[in-house]
Amino acid sequence: MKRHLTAEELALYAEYVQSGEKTEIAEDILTHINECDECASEAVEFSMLSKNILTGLSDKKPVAKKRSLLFAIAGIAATLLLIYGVWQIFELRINKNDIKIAGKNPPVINDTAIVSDTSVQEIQNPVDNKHEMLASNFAKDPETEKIIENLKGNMRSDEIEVISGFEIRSQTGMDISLEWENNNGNKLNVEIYTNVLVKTESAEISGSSYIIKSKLNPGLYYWKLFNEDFDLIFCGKIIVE
Amino acid sequence: MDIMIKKFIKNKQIEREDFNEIKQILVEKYLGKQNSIKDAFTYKSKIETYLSAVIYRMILEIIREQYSYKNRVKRIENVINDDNRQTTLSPEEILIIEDEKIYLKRVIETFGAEKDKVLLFLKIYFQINYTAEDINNYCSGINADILPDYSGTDKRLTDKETYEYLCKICLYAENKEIFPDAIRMYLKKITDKLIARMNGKYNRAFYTKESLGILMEMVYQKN
Repeated sequence: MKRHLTAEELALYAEYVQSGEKTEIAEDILTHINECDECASEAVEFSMLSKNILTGLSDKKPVAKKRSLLFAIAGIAATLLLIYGVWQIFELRINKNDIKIAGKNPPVINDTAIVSDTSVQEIQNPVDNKHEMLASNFAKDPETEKIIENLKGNMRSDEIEVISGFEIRSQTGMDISLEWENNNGNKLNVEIYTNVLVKTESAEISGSSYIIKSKLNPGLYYWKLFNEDFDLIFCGKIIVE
Repeated sequence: MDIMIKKFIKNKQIEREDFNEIKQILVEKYLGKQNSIKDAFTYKSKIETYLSAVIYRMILEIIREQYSYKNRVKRIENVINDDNRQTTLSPEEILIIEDEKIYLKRVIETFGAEKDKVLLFLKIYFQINYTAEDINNYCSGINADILPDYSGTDKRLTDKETYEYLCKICLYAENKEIFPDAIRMYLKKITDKLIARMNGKYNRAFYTKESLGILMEMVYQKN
């Protein structure tokens, strides 16, 4: 490779280094870095700068690709099982109500039948749809769970110590307060996410606590604390019941 | 974008008060090249890593055009080169050193298949305690008689003595008879290369052979 590295090749090298050499990388990229001082220093500097932005994982704890894949598969399987269970309950309710109301054979289940058959519409219980929605609100995000697991409730800063713990449980309608020690009044950034990583709230603060402003419905949420340079200091979860 | 700029601020490559101005320039640059950035992506890496790399290079361009690295360089030099090195370092200095230690290790990794030889030779050259692992990584089974022993002595080897040791090691490991002058040239080549990589294309630092030796001692010397 006689040309210098492209931006994407730089990105591939950063991912390779941060994974602890567990991701694959083309041999010619490594060979070029070996031979070219300019690209070598650029590659190292970018891998250092991008360290906390991209993965939130510590340099000392590279995550095995295999382990993260198994974790993701387990998460998906658990979610599918939950949805199947809710669906089964829903199915049983329909069949039970059909026999009660119609006293005849249940209607043919096809799209037209469901839309036009008012008895089926009447027995559709809004509570069952709600159960399915609630279940999905508690589904875990594998990547964020991995970050929390790696942090294991430890702070990544000597100056800030989180008091709230890495799992907070609360009830709907109650104030949720996130607390930490910040004796030096350092500027911090707090962000709140749903379980599917949609940001619901963020704020810059220099105090030692933050009360979540949004009304959180029952579900799993994640919260992250950053220093003023946006280095991740802490990641925890909030379960609203 | 914000996060990457703040990383540069943290490294003192950009002044904090210039954040908004840099961001403005960056956004204009990015919007101007948006299509070519998109076209150049081949989906081999994660998109967020790729975009970070694009933004990183754009920031370096802006810095080269408008800023100097002098503040950061001065800080590293003051910490690494201080002959009356303080026994207690400030938290900021500790952070700089920790960053530079990781940086040095990663730069040595960029030597590829040669990295074990480079590391052992540099340790011997800078008279830093090498380990059995260092030797085995380069070549197993070397007789201890041909290896220099720094333990329990304040006497520093002369360059000539160091080159002679390295000649013997090379003869054993690579079955090559090499003269001290060739060793000297090889050491100069790898130290120049290492220094160039530590200092970077846009002078992130101004390491010299001496300051490199001090940093290596900080990383690898086990007391």
